[in-house]
Amino acid sequence: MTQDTGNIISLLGLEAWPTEKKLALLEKMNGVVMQRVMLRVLDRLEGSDAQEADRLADQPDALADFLTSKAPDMSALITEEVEKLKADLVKGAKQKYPEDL
Amino acid sequence: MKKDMQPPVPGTPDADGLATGPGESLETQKTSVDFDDETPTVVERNPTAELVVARKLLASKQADLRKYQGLVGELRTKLTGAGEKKSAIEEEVALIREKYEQARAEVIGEDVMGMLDETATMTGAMAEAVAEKKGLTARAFEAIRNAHKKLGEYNLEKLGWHPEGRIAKMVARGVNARLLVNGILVGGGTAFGGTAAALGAITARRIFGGMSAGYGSFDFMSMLSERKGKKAALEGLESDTTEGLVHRLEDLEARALVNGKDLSQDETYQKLKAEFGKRFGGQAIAGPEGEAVQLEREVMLQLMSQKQERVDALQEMHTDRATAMKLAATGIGLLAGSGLIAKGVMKGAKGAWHATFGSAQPVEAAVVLPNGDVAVDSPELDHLAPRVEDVDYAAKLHPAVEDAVPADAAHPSVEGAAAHLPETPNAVDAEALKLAEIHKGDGVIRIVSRQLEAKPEAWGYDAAKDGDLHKWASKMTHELMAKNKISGDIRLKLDAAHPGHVLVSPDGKIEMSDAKTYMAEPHAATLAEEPHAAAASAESHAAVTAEPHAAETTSDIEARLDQSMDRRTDEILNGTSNEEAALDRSMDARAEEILKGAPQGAAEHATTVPRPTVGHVESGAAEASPTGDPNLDKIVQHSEALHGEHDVVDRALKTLDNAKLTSAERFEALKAACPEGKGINIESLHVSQEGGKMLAKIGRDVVVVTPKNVGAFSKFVDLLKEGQRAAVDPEGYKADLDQVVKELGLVSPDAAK
Repeated sequence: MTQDTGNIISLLGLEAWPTEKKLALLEKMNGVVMQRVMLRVLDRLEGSDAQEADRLADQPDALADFLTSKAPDMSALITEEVEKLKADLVKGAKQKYPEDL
Repeated sequence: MKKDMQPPVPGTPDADGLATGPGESLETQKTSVDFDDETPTVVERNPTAELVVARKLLASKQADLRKYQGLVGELRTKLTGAGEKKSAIEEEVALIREKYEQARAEVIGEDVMGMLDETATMTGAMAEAVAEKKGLTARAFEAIRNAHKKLGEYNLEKLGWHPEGRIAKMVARGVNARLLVNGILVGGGTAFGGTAAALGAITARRIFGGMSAGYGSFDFMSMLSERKGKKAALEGLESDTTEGLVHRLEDLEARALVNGKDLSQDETYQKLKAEFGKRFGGQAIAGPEGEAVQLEREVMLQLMSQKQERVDALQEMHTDRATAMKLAATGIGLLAGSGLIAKGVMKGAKGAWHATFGSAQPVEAAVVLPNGDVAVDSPELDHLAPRVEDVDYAAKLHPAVEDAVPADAAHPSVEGAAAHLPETPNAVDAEALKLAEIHKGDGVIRIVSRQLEAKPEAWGYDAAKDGDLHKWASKMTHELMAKNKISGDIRLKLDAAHPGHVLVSPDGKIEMSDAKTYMAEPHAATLAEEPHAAAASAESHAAVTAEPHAAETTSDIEARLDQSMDRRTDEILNGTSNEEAALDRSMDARAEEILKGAPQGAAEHATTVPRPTVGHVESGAAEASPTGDPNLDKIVQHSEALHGEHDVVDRALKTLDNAKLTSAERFEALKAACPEGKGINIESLHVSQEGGKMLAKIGRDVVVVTPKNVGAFSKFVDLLKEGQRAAVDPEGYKADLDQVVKELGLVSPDAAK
C-alpha cells in the first residue's frame, strides 16, 4: 500500500521510477490539464467569439488574453481540472492494481 | 548455433537477482526466445510478468520473515539461534522489495502514461466536436489548442485570481499556471515539511532569478533537467559560492518533491543546511525600517499546516469556496513553505523582490538561524500569525494598569536556564514568587491569572463593578498579555529541580525567569542568544488562549467553531486581521476543549457546559497531549470530526445510488447524512433539512426531496456529476436534465416553505 501524501508520484507508487520518467509524466499531466481547461473555455465561446478567435489566430498573446477574458475564473478551472485528473488517475490505477496500491 | 535457453529454475535468482517463487509458473513471463541460428537471441522483457513474480515473491518472503517477528518470533529466534537466518531473510526481503517497487513503478507508470494518452485523445476529440459546434475555423481552433502553452506562463492574477490580502496577492503574482498545476500534483503545498518546503525553496530561486539570470521561465522540472551531471551534493561545498550552496539545497528539495520523499531525515540535506547556518548563522538582515525579529521556520510550517487543515475542512463544508481556497493554500505553500524564501531579502535583493512581486510588501527582515533555517519577519507573516496585540485591548484596559504599564512595554524577557529573576523596581515578596512558580501543566495565562486572583484589589478589582472574580482575572490577564506583547498562551515545562517563574510585577510587566517552553530544540538554543527575538517566536508558537464560556450548549460551540473557522481562514487568505479573529483563536480553542469533554450526544440536548477554571492546575495536561503540541492536537481533533462528517455524506451518496434499496431506505440515508439544521453539499446542490423537509437548493431553485422522488434526485446528482457531457452532447444532456427536473418537480423558494 502506498501512503497518501497527496503527491501523485507517491499515490501511484512511482517513487522508484527514474526521475526523467517522472518528469515526463508530470509534463504530460500538465498538458492534459491545460487541454481540459481549453475545452472548458471553448465551451464558453458564443456568438461572434468564433470570428474574433479567427481574427486573433496569428497573435498568440492577444489570443491568450481573449481566452482569459472568456474565462475570468481560469485559475479556478485549472485547479478543478488538476484535482479531477489526479483523482481519475489514482482511481484508475487502484482499480487496476489493487494489490500494489 | 542453436542456443538452448532454459527457463530459470523456480526459487533461483535470475539475471536481475529476481527469483521466482517455488512452483511459480513462468508462463506469465511470456519470455520470447529466438532459436534461429542466424540471429542473436533476443529476450524481450515483460515488465507485467516481472511485477507479478516480484509481488508474489515479496509476499512469500515477507511471510517467511514474519515467523521471526513479533514477540513469539523474537523468542523463537533467540531460542533457536536463528538470528543469522533472520538477517539473511531481511536482506533478501529488502532486495526483492526494491525489485518489486521498480517493477511496480515501471508497469503502473507506463500504464498511467497510456491512460493520459487516451485522455488526451478523448479530450482532443471532444474539443474538436465543440469547436465545430461553435463554428470555429480550423485555423482558430489550432491557435486555441496551442494557446495553453502561453497560458501556462501566465500568473494567477492574469488568469483571473484577484485576491484582497497581501499574501494572496503575492501568490497571485508569483505563481504561474504551470507551477500551480505541478504544485497540486505533487502535494499542493500541504505537506508538513517536505513538499511545502521544497516548493518554497523553488520559489526562492525565482527570487534569485530576479537578481541575476532573469525571471519568468523557471519551474522545477526544467531545474531538475538542468542539473544532470551536477557535482555531488557535498563535494567542494565549503569553497562553493552562496548561490551554489542554495542550488544544492534546492536541488535536493526538488528531487525529494518529485520522488515523494521527506527530507527531514536526510543526512546530506542536513549537512547542507548546517553549512548555510554556519555561513550566516546569527546574521540579522534588517529591513530599512524594522528591527530583525526571528520567526522560526517550523512555526511557519506549523501555521501553514494549520491553515491547510482548515482549508481542507472548509473545502468539504463549502464546496463553492473550495477552489479559491485551494488556490490560496497551494500558492501560500509555494511561496512561504520554506524559510529559504527569506534569502530573497538579503542585501541587495529588495529590488528583486519588487521585480518579482510588484507592489506586494517585501519581507522586512531576515535572520539565519544557527541550524541553517532562515527566519523572517514580514507583514505577510504577521498575517499568518496574527497576534493578540493587534486587538485594541488598550481601550478596555483598567485605568490602574493603563497608568502602570509604559506605552512602549517590551516583550517579556525570556532568559536561559542559568538566568535569575531580573531586578525590578518593585519589591518581589516570597508569596508573589510562590504564585509565580511554574507548576506541572502550567502555561503563562494560568500563572498570570493565578497571581491576579490572589491579589485582585491591587489590580483595581471592584467586586460590585467587575463581578465574577475569575472572569475578571481572565480578562485582565489578556489585557496584561496584550500590553506585554504576548500573543496566545505559552506552555511551560516543569523543571522540579530549578522551577522557573512567570512573574507579574506591580507595574504590569510580565517577566519570565528560567522558563522553558515546549518549543523545538533548535529554537531553544536561540533563547539564550536572542531573548527578545526568541520571545517573539515563542508568541507565534504559542497555544491559543483559553477564554471562559459560561452556560453554553455544545451546539452553540459547534456553530461558533464553524463561524470562527471561516473568519480565520479568511483572515489568513485575505491578510485581514481584526479583533474578532483574534478572539476566535481563544474562543474556539476553549470551545474544542469543552467539546472534547462533553458527553456524547450533548449537541442534541441543551447541556450546560461547565465554565473552565483558569488557575486550576490540570495534572499532566501537557504530557497528555497526543502529538505533544496542544495546537496540533486541536487541529487533528477537529479535522477528524470533519472527516467523519465527510464520510457520512460519502456513504449517503453511495446509498442514493444503490438500486437494491427501497426509496424509503435511500431517503432515510439522506436524512441521516443531513440532520436538522446542518447542511451538506452534494455536487453543486446544498442539501439541508428544515422543519422535517429535505431541501436541495441549486441557485434559487429548490427541490423538496421525498421518498417518492428520491430516485429522481439520485439521477439528478448523477447528471450534475456528468457536467462535462453537456459540452459534447448538449441536446442529450438537456433532455435528460429536463426529464429529471420534471420528475423532481422544481419549485420556487417561497413555494418550498
